[in-house]
Amino acid sequence: MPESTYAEAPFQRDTARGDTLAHYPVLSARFDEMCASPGAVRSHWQYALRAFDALGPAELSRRRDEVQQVLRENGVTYNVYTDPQGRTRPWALDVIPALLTSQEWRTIEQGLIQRAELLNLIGADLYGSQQLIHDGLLPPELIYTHPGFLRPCHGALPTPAPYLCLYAADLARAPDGTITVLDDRTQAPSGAGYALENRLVLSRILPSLYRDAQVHRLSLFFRTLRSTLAALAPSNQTRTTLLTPGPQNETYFEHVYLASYLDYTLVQGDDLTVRDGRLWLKTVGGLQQVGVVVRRVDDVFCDPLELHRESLLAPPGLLQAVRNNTVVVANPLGSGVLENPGLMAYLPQIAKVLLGQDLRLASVPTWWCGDEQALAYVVDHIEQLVIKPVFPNPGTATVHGARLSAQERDALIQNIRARPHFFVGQEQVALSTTPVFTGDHLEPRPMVLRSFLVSRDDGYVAMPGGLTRVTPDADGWLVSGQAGGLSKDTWILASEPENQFSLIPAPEHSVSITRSGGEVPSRMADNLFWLGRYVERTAGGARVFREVLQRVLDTETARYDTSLSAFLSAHTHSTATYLRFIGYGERRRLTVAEKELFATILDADQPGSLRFHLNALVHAGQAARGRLSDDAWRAINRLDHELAQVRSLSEMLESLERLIIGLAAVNGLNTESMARGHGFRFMEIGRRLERALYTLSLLRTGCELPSETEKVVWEMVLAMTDSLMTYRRRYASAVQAGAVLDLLLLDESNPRSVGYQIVQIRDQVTGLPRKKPRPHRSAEERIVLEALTTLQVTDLERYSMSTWDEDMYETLSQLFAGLSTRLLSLSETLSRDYFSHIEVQQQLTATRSTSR
Amino acid sequence: MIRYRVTHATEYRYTASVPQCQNEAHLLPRTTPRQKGGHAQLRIQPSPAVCQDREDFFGNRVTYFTIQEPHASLSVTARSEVLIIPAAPPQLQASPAWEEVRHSVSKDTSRAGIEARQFLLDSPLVHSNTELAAYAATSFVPNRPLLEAVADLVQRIYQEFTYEPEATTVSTPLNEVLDHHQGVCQDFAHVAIGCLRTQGIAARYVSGYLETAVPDGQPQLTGAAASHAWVSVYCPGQGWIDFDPTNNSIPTDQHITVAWGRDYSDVTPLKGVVVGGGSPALDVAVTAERISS
Repeated sequence: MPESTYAEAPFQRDTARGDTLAHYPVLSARFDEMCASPGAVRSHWQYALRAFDALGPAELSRRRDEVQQVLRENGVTYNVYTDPQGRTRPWALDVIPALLTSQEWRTIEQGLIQRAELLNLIGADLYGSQQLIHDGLLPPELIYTHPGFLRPCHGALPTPAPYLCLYAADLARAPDGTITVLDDRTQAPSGAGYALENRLVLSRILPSLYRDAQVHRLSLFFRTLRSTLAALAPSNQTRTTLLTPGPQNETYFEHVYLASYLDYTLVQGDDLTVRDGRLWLKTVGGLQQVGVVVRRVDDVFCDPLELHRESLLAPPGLLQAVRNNTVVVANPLGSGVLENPGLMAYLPQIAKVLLGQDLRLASVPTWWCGDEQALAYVVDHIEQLVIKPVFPNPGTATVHGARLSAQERDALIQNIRARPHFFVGQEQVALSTTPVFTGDHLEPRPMVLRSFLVSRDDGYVAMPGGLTRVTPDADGWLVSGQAGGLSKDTWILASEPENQFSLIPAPEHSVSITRSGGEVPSRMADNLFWLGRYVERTAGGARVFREVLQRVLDTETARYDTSLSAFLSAHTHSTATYLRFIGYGERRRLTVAEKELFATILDADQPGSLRFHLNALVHAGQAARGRLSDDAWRAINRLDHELAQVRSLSEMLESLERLIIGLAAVNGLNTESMARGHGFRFMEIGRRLERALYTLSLLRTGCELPSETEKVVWEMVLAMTDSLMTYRRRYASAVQAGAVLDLLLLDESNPRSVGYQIVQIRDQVTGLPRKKPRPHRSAEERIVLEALTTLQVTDLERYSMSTWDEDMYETLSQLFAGLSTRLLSLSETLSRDYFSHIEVQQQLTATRSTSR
Repeated sequence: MIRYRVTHATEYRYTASVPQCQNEAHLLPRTTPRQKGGHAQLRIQPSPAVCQDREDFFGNRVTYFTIQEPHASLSVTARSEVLIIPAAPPQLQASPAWEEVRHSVSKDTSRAGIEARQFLLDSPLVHSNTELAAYAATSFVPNRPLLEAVADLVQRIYQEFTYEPEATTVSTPLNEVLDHHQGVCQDFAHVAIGCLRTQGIAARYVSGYLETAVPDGQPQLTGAAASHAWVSVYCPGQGWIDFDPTNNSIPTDQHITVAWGRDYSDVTPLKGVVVGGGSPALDVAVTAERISS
């Protein structure tokens, strides 16, 4: 350890505003990153600590809240699998960064680079000649028993690319100060996006400290990533995609974020297809070739033909396309074999043979139980070791020998002896502690640093810093996102002016000016279409409920008649949520109504409830995030806070008001900020279609209600369509059915009318991409034309009479039904023609050998 | 040398049109020390847009193909000619004691030894367990010559298990086969492989064919009109020796090898993923005729 790195000095406070260091305990069994002993602050922490002290606990608390607020606004989340609600948890970031000197970082970095090179060589060997096994440097059982060794991938090496493009390592500092590798991540390392987001947030929250501390920047890493992947592409005519398992994945936020930051198309398995031995993206305009896949799907799920047969997370034939060298997957399929912790026991020897070097960065001492001597050691020392499976397995947890009862220990030993290849014993590293701002003071917490590397022509480049995570409580020993816990930005403090940028190879080709935003993947078109529909559906629902609530709350004029419940059930599209307003005494009705209203609005599990639609909207927004403007995305994200923690009807009413305005903001931002490409087109069709259906259902309900309530009913319809003012300006008289029908059905100049929606749909549908130019109208165009013509030839003349006969009701009812049917069939036709990712795929029954 | 002509026809008939399928076939016979491949080809209808051959991790011949035009049925016919050099049956008593083999193979670092060691380990469809070990133990008595113990195990499976095609499917777990003592050739092969691995004996799964029509005077092997499966055991010094639990025989000149692997999942004759298709019906027909001796 270089002396200067950890020079320490008594801490001098230069202001009296705070004493952040008071009561900061230094545990003797662990290395503390900030203090060598109580009160003795390491030199590279002094400046930052003075700054925190100057801010004082109150200001630090305020900034901590600000951090969480920014993260929430940006929608930064981490999904927790065990949450029964499937809810996302906001990402947690400490306001105090983790600090390292650039001098020490250089040593760590060299170790990481060496390790990445070593694993790269091992991976290429295992999927090639397997010389390491034949030379006795790796036991065959270590590789052949590991589920990550994928035999179909043997021989499918990327040429001439390096084997490993991306590498991440979890690092810990032992009590003696040495840095140790806890885990190697070679499949689809996660966290780089969170590290970037952490940096953006913290540099904004602590601007002057960040500037003065001369922190190494992260952008070089991402630029290298981009140029490395660009160089891998078999041709420059192809796309680069980021393959995600989907919104249910724990790090989905990061997939969206990185895809957008790196400008790659975010795709799920069924967005892709293999044809002609190549990989293609399904877009609304046809197939586009994919040259590079950055995968966040584990490799065993990446080809249902040759790997895990049940997987829908990747297209069948992907591996064959890789063999054909028409697509490069980063990291390659099969690279999971390098995550086997048993490898760590053999790395020092392999480094000597392959690199002629000693390992610069030690691994945590590891014994692979498949080796007889190692097995004996593990059994004898089980109380001092952590026992891990070589492959993450839901049934086999990582356990700490010391925490087991004698009985449990015997059972574990028996288990290990039965399948020795499957286990490693590792020494437990007493993680170093780093200060966390909790409550109003600093507290030491055990930490792990995940660092990230990317390959370049001449080796590997490490991200200066990385993702620091601390345990959820002070004596924790497991750091994982699933277990909760806090992350930190990691600052490498430059000791000299930063000159890294001169090292960057010439940036990629200059940007060529283009007007298109690329083709829209068909899943994205689907998401945008539904985003449009859900925005309108939620807005319509909010207006219906607002109207009903106002009437329920207004006890003077309260009318608990059939009209309220009729509108509610018309809106919810489901009799299951039918409000039972009728058949009770006056007082009782109110309480029942309140309870029912709460459920119909707030119960997210009840299909058709307003909260249900709102959730669908937010999900569609998340899925379409890459196509929305940042402001539109934030506006959608904000909506998610509505209709939650509502305790009374009046609070509910306020929330509904905010929701209506918020939805208008979403619509406005989308209209103002989205380029008019196919993406916008599908969203706009979705919006217009839903609004037309909504207005039709209100009109139908209005006509079906008994005529004595007519005036009230049509007033409500006008209010629910935000058209009361337009009506009043146009007609001085009392509300009358014929005039309402004209305004909301036929008047193509009223942006709330059904006619207006259909005209808008027609304009958008004409511009949809067509597989082959044909002289005839498309199916979509025909449906819209039919609907519009039906509407335009409707004669409403006689509906201005005050009483209607049966025939008039019948005509209207048929008109409404006919229009709704056509609009719904338009939705289905669009799905069939443009959202081709919904094709159903099945495994053929494999032929088996049945002879006698 | 005996010359065989093999035809293996597979047909899927769909109830809904299939716009695209992708398949992988292990249908072309490999070369072995006792088997030379002659002319071999796959006929696929409708004709595939892409059809590519390669060698897999175990040295088998694999074909990837995809059909990209809408089709209502898929027919894959493999025709091959194979030359077999008849082998004398091994001297069972002359093999080393099985414990000795177990000991030496687990430490064998020769190329053949390392290759054999992977066949000692659990595989996707065959997991060692105490039931398999207990079943095997009856045959693996102390100091018994390896091949004699294997022959005994194979004979017991032949006698104690019933051939019953309706009893199992592709996805029936091994333990169920063991519990019910029923199944088809590939189930029996898996039972034998599982038993052998519990005793520390390297065993692999062999996929292939049995001669359909036999010359006069030799016993008729019935029900051969489907593909067949048996096992192969590693015996240091002698190499891999085949055993057929379904017929209680040691293959000499009536078994044609297509491919081998750890278990059926490594060498599935034909599998695929299709878009659409409804509920497909499957037909398989095999003939393996001796055309010259």
